[in-house]
Amino acid sequence: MSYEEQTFIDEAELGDVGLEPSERFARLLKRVGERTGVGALGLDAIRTSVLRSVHGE
Amino acid sequence: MIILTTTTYDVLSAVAVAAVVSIVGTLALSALRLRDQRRNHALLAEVKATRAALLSAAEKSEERDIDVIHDVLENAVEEVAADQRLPVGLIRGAIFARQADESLRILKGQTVGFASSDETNIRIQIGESGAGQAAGSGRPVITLFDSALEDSTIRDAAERHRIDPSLRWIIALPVFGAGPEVLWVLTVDGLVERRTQAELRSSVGHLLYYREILSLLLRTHTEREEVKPKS
Repeated sequence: MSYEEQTFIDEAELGDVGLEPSERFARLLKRVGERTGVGALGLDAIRTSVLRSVHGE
Repeated sequence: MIILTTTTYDVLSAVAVAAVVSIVGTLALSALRLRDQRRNHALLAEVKATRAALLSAAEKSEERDIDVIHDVLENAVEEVAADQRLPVGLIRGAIFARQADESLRILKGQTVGFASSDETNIRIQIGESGAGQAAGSGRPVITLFDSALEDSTIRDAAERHRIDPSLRWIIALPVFGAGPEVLWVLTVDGLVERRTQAELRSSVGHLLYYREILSLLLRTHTEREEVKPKS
């Protein structure tokens, strides 16, 4: 190994640290929704999807 | 002197009538053909105009998709720079796509902060380095480097030597298609300044949001590419 350290992240172990969408992301999502229609479901839907991938709900 | 008998006159009349009928028929046929040709030309022009409009719309959609995907990548880089309290100039981003031969290559134009075009042409095999391991495992991977140039997980030395020698860490996130298969990998990496695994871990949660929207955009873009008329 020539890299110092490598860690495979288990998303379920992330807990809730950093799992709230940032203001930058919220602004980006609005812009993307306006331009493409993708993400027009809104921040809550994306947040639910992220939390589902983390917590496996 | 020619004496026209009734019979001869009848024959000549019949021939004349036949000739007139033939000429009128030929003219009518020509007129019909001309009308058909004009109609066909009009239809062809209409088809060509529709095709051009479709191609133009597809090209505009493609340009818009590419711009929006790049906007997401830029914001992901800025997000991590803010998280890590590092200048944006030391953070880079890229989107790798899984190729038919199972290697990973960076999507054309989908990089932020890469100084060398040589590095953007890198080919990484599944299981190699951070991006390849994220694709292989389906899990986010944080890699800290002593020397990325000596990263023995990239077997091909020519590919390994494309890497910026000041690379210190990579966060690689698998991006899924509609199913469980990893079709793309989002990487955000840092030059010069070292960070610990714990410090970088705090950025993974934020990047999950960017991964989510990238998955939607890349899937939509790919579907559009598949139905796009071939020029």
